[in-house]
Amino acid sequence: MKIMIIRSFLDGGMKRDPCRMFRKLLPAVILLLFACALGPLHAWPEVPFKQEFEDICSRTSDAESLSVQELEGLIARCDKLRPAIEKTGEPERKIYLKRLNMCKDLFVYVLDSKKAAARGTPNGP
Amino acid sequence: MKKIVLFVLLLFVAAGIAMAQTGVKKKRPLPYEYGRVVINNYSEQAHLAPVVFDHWFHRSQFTCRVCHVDLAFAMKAGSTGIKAEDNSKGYYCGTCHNGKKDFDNRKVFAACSKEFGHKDLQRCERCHSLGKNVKKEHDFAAFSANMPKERFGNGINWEKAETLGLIKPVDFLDGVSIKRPKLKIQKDFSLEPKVEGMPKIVFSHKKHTVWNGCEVCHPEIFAGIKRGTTKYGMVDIMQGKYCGTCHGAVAFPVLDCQRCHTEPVE
Repeated sequence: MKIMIIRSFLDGGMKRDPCRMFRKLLPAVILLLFACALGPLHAWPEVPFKQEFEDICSRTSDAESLSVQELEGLIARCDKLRPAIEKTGEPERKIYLKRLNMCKDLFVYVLDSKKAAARGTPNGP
Repeated sequence: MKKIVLFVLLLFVAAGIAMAQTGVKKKRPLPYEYGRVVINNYSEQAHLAPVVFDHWFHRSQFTCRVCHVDLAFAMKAGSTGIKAEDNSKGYYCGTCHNGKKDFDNRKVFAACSKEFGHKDLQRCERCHSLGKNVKKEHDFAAFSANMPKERFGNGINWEKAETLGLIKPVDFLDGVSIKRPKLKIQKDFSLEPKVEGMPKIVFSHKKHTVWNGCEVCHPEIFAGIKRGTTKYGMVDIMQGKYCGTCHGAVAFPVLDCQRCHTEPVE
């Protein structure tokens, strides 16, 4: 049904009046532009590694409840992600590296404490 | 001969005065100045006055975590190295100060622009204001009038202000902050003071994690995860280490002994 409508719209519309299609599409274009303008007003520009970065660093809130294996996995992912961030320009590189380091440091810290607890010795200075 | 002796004596006295530790007492900041940060990494090079950042207003709007984790502002004043270009690209201050974000039924002014002329000077001076007589948009006296009072710092009990619903610090910025699982509520705990007879310190882990998350404090400020493994004393704190990273700079100062040493001696 949908295909039929689109086909008739394209065939009929374009054949009869080429401008008609654009006139019909205009409201949709305006709506799209409006939606874009309404997006987060403080969103940072997109970076290619954002998904992976967010997946990793979203785990800082529950780092304490993660297993040793999970923490080691997250630390490895931090190390793997680092070169991708280093390739970007400033200030993205500086900002995301700082944020990634904070996440990694926390995972290392929790991991060390878990290992120390397993050994029965407190960590820290 | 007498003249020579007098001259040498005067020379010693003058040198003594010049080399003496004069012990000038550090001025305690006024409530509206408390937490103020002066940023001068590049301002004067660009022939602008250094930036004066008032913590009190921003902390009434946002949690510490939003700025010091999500926006990547360093905890030490001046160590972030913010450039005008960073702001104009929409990072750091420019995340909100972009001329688009709404606040209080108006747009938040843009922090920096790639190009600016004399007409923009007034806007520049809203931040680049050290040594200038700039009228601040947000009046501290009006803001603090209805806030619960505190003896030191800003003279505001921020914790109580939040509990009473007078401030609602935002903990998430769309397009910047990461969606995280709900933070596990940490239990408050007590710490043994070093000095005998001092009341125990009750550490509000819950409040600290709500405002800071985990990564603001661990491991950068507190390296030991097990209670009592990071050894420090009041001298370290007064020097701006450990609790003193915030308490003495932005959060209530450690002069207010009773805020931490709250548990009576058994």
